[in-house]
Amino acid sequence: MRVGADSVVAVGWKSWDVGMTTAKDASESSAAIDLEASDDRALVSAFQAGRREAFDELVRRHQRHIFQLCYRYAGNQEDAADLAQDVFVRAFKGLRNFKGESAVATWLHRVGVNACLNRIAIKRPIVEPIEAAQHVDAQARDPLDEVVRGERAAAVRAAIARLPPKQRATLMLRVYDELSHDEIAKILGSSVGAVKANFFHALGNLRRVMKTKP
Amino acid sequence: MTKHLSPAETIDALEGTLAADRAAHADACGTCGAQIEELRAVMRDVVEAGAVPEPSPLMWDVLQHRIRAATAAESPVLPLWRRSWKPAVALGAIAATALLAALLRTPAPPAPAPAIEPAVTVAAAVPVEEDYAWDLVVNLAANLSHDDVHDLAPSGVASAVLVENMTPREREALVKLIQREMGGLE
Repeated sequence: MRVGADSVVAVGWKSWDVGMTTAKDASESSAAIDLEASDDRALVSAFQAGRREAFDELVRRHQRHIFQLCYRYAGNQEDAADLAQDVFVRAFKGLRNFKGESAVATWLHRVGVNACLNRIAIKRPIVEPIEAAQHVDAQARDPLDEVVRGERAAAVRAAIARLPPKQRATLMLRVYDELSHDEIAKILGSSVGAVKANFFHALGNLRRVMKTKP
Repeated sequence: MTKHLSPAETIDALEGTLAADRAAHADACGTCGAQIEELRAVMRDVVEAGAVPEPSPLMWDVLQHRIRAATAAESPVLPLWRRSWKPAVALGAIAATALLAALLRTPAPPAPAPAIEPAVTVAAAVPVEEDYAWDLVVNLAANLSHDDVHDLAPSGVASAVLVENMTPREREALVKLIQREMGGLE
């Protein structure tokens, strides 16, 4: 997507954003359309015409991505679920004014990022204990290797949770949400130089923390 | 030896967007090169840590139920006042603009007439009892009835309007005429 770096691997929602068809005029027959077969924009039109079930269908389609987004910011499943709920409640209110200038998925992602950033400003995440976050797939490569990788990932998440809010937000927006430095600067109200410096210090702090781990 | 990479340049190096001359430094400098590699390793860890464990399959139904409950009191359709406030404001703005334009089009009141210098100072020069013209006016006026005076004299308003509507040249001519007339009395 926007990240040109070879080292910044997308973890995310590219594939999730695929498949949004062009908008069609759903207002004409919003009451009659088959919600499951409709594209996102048709669902939005149906919702704006008063069909609440259209929103339920949007939730079904996008809840996994929004939950994953929230989990990275919240650090545990319980808070991630609360945050995801908050995102969809905001989306419910915002969709009434949605003009379709971007894909519904992109718009929802932005709503989610805003909610998550608010949370960063309010609360430091409680990172889930390793046991809860770890799901060992016995059919996977090497179960022992999976355990080690899971422990490492949990330690990194815990370290990210301890970063100062601005460094954490910058890291998340850059690595997980794949925003450009310029976009991050606009969101966080700082300069591109400051964003890069925050990103640098976030990685440096993580390196220091991780060095102390076995 | 050139300067080490700044934090921003280190990020550019990590993302492959560093300018060529600085990239040459990064390649040649052991300190900068080591730092970039360390941060690259941290970045890999961060990316890997972004994988989110799959929640219980029941969680999705629970989440949907919670969202439905939290939005139950809300309506998908905007209230009428929120839907119509923009057109109403637009109409108001158009009406205000039209009114302003109409006001600006009405002709401005005429500029105040240039002050006319007192043309005469005769009154001070000739005592009124010796003035035969005054004597004539008094005699004529004595023979006029009230109605005759009313019919003959232009109303104050009409004369004021006449004077106000005069062009500067007309005003100048009038002043000269009065001066001449007054001068003739001397």
